[in-house]
Amino acid sequence: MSMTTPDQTSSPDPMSTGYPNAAAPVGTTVYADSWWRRNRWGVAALVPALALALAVPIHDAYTAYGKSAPRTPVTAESGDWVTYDKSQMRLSTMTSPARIEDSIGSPVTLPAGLRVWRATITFRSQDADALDGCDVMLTDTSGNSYDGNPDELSDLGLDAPLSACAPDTMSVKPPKQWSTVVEFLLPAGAKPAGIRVISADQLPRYAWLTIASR
Amino acid sequence: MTAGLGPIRNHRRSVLSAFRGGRIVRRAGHALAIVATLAAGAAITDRTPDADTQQHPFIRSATVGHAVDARTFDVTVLGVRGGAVLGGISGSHDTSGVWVLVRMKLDARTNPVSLGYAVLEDSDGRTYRATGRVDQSILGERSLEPGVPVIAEIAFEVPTALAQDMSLRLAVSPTDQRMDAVAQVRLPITAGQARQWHADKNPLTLAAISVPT
Repeated sequence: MSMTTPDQTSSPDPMSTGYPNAAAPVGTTVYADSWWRRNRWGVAALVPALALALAVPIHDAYTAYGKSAPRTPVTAESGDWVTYDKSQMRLSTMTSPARIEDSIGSPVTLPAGLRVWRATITFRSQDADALDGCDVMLTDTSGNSYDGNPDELSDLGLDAPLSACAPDTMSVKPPKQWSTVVEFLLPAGAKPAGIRVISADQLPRYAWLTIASR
Repeated sequence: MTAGLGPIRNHRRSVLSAFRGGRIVRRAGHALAIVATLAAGAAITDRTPDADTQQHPFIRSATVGHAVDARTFDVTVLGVRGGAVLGGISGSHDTSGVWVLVRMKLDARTNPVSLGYAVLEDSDGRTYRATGRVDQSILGERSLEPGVPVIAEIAFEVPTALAQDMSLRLAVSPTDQRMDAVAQVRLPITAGQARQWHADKNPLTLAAISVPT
């Protein structure tokens, strides 16, 4: 059966009803435009619509996931100031003290296989409360992370400051520059690589304070 | 003007009739395709595991004295003890069942992690959460540091008759263990031990959290 091109000039257009073309020569049957032809623009529009319908929730979920954890470091050369969360900060010292003392000055014996690392971080800010509530964590060269001032050190009697970032003062006029001391408990064989300062409202950005290689 | 349209109308009628026959076949084909699609959908749905099965936690089992990897932490059950009275800061707590205290070593793997879920589960799937009648700071409040194992004890209050049929289950999230690892250790409690504990009125005290030396 032969097929011919629909007559676009006849009026009313029988193609639009799905009926054979009455104007076609006798003995031939001309079928109306196919469903695909009649709906070609709708089908074409369906492709980007489906892509958009998939992309929007994926984008939203990915964005929420990305902001759920510190993933984007803000860093500077070792010892330099890092600008983060309306503040500047740098790692002043990083040591592993040979002698550990509790809050009344008595020596503390660490459990075997563990080592304390002590970081002194200096902060500068016009708003001393900007970093209040931040988290300070140490990352070792194997990628493992450790909390600052962990409970294990408190159990051993070591003093832990209220905040690892904010100035430890009740002064009405807070300082523009201050330092905090943060201690970490690591396996003896672990090598510190850097300190992460994390403000929840800045995620996924975090400050990365590189520890100079020894 | 209309005289010449007679043959065309007749022809049109016959063509329309033939076309209607084809249309019925085509519509029957469409209906068949819809039925086939629905049947295929029903078959797929019928054979697809339900949400509970798809999202069930990954149970990692071990026996007492052996470490079990719960993805973000390791746990080794060191022992179990029990009694009828549990001491606490706020006084002694008795029970109509029995207190079961599980001693374990916990070790985070790569990042600080908190233990949020601790239950005893019997073979019928009934779960008994760690008691809230005494302070148990190992649950939720405290971070475990990688490479710094701690030894802790967790207390549970369970029916005496079921104490011999309990497994410890531990996970990080207190509310949502879907598709996460859950450590499971079968507790070696006998019926005789459970009865003995039920009769023992000497107050038990939870061991303090410690770092093994």
